[in-house]
Amino acid sequence: MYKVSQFFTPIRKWLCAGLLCIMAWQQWSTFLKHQQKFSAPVQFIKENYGNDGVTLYGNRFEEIKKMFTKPTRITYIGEPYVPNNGTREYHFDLTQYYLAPNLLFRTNIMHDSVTYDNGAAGITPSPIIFDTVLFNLYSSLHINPATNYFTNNGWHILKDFDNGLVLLIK
Amino acid sequence: MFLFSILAALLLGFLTCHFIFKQAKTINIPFLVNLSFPAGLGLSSVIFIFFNLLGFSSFLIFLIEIALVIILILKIKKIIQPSPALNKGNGTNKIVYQFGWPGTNKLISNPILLLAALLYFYSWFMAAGIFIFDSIQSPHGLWDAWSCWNLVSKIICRAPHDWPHLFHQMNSADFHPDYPLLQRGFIARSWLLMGSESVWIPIVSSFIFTFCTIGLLSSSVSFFSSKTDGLIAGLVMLCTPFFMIMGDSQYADNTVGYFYLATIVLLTFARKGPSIKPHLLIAAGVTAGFSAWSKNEGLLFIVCLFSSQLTLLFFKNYRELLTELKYLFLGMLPILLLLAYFKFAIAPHNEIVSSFGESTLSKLTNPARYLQAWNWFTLQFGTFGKWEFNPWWLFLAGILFKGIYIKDNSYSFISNFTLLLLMLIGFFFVEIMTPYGLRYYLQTSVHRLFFQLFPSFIFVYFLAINGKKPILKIDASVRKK
Repeated sequence: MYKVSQFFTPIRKWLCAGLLCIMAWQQWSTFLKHQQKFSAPVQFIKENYGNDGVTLYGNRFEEIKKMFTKPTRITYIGEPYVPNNGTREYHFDLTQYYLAPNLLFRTNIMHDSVTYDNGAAGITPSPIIFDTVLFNLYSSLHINPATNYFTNNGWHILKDFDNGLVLLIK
Repeated sequence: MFLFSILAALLLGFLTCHFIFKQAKTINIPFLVNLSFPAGLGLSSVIFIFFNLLGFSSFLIFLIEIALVIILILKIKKIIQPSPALNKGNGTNKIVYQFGWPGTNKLISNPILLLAALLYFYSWFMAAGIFIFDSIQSPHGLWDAWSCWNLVSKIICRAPHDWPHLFHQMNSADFHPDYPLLQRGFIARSWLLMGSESVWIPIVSSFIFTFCTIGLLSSSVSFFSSKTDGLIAGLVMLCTPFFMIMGDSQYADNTVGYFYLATIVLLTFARKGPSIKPHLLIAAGVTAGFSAWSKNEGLLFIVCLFSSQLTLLFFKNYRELLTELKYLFLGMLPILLLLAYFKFAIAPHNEIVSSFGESTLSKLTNPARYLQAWNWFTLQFGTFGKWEFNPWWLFLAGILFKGIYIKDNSYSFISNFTLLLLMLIGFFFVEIMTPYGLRYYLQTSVHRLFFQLFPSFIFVYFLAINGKKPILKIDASVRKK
């Protein structure tokens, strides 16, 4: 019985060589793209090894990490809408990565804290018990003790890191 | 200590796999290396988590690993140095090691083989370059690597005896603590041994899984088909841009994909020849267990693995099939027991499983979800792997050039093909039932799920277009017995 593959038999080697060369070209094209990205990094990624976004962000947490003698449950709050949801999510995960094995929890407070600096409105009690709050402030840089929900409800500032990070405990 | 911790795991895997193939007369070194190195990482992870849960210190666990290595060396030494009595008989007890590379004459006489070999080396070094560029740029891996996989490694490393307690308190949405521990356990073990959280550990382990996938695929296709086909199979993986990104991102998709491939390859080896080969079936069970120990998708793989074997009821004696399944199950049993303990006693509920309820039924009966998922699956099919062009016509070209011939590996082809098909169907239904937004879940998961199956698909594809009757080497002695 005639098979379709028999039709290609006379030119099989040439076709096969052609396909192999196409794959090699694809690999060269991929390599060039990665090399260009490596030579001209975008955003915060630096050429130096160890200075990628994750490492740079981690420098902020070395001091905080030393403050906990045993694993702690922390509520993490990022200043809402600044700079944007994606970056706040990214920073939440980075904070978690650097402060492990302390456990960070997002609570409803994070989402309802649009008015966190204007009083108690909008804040929902968290189902998670925590004794530490980490504020990641962006544009505000410093917490306002007079209007902040926590400072008005028995919490006090344990440390203000002067770079947008504030640690509060009960 | 960095080298020591990695080498101990690799050596453990190498010696264990060598011991499994103790009855072989010929051992193909590339096949053995590519099979054993990732298996070594898996074994180290299982040993570490098991003894850690029993309260052993990291150093003591490492000593146990070293003791196992010494025992295996002594056992293998006996195998490769036959007793004088045996030498008197025929002197053929000695294992022959092969590197599997074609001789110069063969290369010169076959220009396509020569071209494929040259391009394979060229592509391998290019791929290694890509891996290094990306790893230097993002030494902690991409988002999921540090926010999920390496994060939990840090938790285990920084609280080596408290981590099960911490896992209890974790929120699934934020930490994914229910994800299995192969990668996390191995990284934590190595960090603990080193005394530092070096980024090199996840980088090197990802490198091993990524490049051993290519090596295992290439060497096993060479075995069942031809050296040219083996090199082409490896080239397809090497030249697929997204495969390398998946590797250097330090995600666990390449890890689980590797163990799917290893299981399918070992099962295919086991089905060669008329006799049942318990050692290969047990090894296939172990690698299937490792897939479940790598990612939750591995559990689906095990279900689909057993289901796919049922298709052979139409072709094989059911008693023989049941015996095969028994060995397969025995191989994965210890890992499944450890996994079950982890899932039920340590980790919180999986989000997808715990969301089962009335909403699941409404999702399953919503045709719009099926249409959306189907459209996304077909869209991914067209843009697969981030190639400059649609790569599927390469596979079509292979069928046109060589035709389809599955007579020699019919049982393996049928069960493996069914397995891949069931996995795809399983992935599809997971998408339909997801508790997350369907569009978000499709966007973030489908391409990775496809990639888990891609190496296995290439292997099954080359089984189908194989036109050459393979010569069985590894199990020659078993067949004689």
